[in-house]
Amino acid sequence: MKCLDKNILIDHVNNDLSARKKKQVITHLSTCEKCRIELEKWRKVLQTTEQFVAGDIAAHSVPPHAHITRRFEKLSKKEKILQPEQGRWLHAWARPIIVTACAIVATLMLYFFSQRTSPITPADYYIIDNGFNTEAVTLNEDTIEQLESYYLREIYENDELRNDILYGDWQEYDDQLEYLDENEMENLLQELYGEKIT
Amino acid sequence: METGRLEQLIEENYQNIFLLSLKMLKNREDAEDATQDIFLKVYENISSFRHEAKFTTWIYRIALNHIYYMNTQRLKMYNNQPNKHEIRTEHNEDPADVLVEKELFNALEKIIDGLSPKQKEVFIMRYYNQLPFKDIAKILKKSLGTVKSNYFFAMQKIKNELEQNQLLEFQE
Repeated sequence: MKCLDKNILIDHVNNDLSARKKKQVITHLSTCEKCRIELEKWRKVLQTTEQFVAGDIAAHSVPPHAHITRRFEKLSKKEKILQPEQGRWLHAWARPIIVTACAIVATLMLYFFSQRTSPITPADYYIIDNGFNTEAVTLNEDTIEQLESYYLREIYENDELRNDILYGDWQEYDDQLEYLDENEMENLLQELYGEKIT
Repeated sequence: METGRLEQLIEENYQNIFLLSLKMLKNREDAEDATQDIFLKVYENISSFRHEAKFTTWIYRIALNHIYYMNTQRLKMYNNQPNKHEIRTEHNEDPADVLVEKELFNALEKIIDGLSPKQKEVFIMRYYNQLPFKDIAKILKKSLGTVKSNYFFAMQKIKNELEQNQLLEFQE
C-alpha cells in the first residue's frame, strides 16, 4: 500500500475519517514508519495551530455589544415614528391587487352613473300588472299612447276588469284611467254605463 | 423578527463575527466598526432573510461581503499598505518558554496572514469560529471538497513554513 496522503493524515488527526477508512489508516500506520513520522509531524502542527488560535482568541477581548442592541432599539423607535403604519400596512405584493380592484369598482360606478344621465324618478315608470305579467314601462308620448290603448283594450276585453269598473270601486283603477283624456273617459264610461257621467 | 430574538442572535454570533473581522482586517478598530456595520446590515435586511439557509450562514455571508468591501476601501485609503496597523498578539506565558513560544506564535501569525484569501477565510472559520466544514461550504457556496482542499493547502503551507524555519522540533 502506498504512503498516506496529507489529507488523510490531517483528517485522521482531526478524527474526521469514517470508521472503515480509519481502520485502513491504522493498519497502514502499523507497518509504515515513514507515515507514522509524518503523522506525528501533522499532529504537532495541528496541535500548535490550535494552541496559537486559542491564545489569540483569549488575547483579543470581544468588545461589548450592548450598544448595538440599543442602536437597534433607537432605530426601531425612529422607524415607528416615521412610518407608523408600516407594520400594519399591506405587503408590497398586495398593493397592485388592491389598486386594480379599486379601479374596477370605480369604473363600474362610473358606468352605473353614466347610465343615469337623465335622472328618472319612480313616477316616470308605470308598472303594468295584469295578474299574469309584470312590466315596467318608461313613460313617454309613445308609450303613454300604447298604455292608453292597452288599458282601453283591457277594459273592453277583460270582463273582470270591466265588471270591477262598472260595479266595483272604479276609483281603484284611477291610476289606469288617468291616462285617458276627458273625451276618452267620457266615451268609455258612456259606453260602459250607457250614460254620461257628470 | 422580534427584537428579543435578534438580540439573542447577536449574542450568539457577535464574538465569531468580531474574530472573523479582526483576523481578516487585522485591525481592532476596523474590526469593531465592521462588526457593528455587519449587524446593522443584518438588522436592516432581516425582512429579506428567506429561511432558505441557516440564519448563521446568512450572517456569515453578509460579514464576508462586508469585510471584503472594507478591505478594498482600506487598500485604496492606505495606498496598498494594509499592514500599517498590524495587530500584535500578547500571550501571558512562563518566562522560560516565552521567547520560544513567542517566536513560534509570531511566526504562525505571519504564516496565517500570508495565506491566500480563500485559504485564510476557511482557516479562520474552521479554527476561530469552530464551524464544521459543511457549514463553511454553505457560507462560501462551494463544495465540501473545495473547502477541504483550501484547508489542506493552508495547513500544508503552515507545516512547510514551520519546518523550513525549524520552529517546531520534528522527530526524523
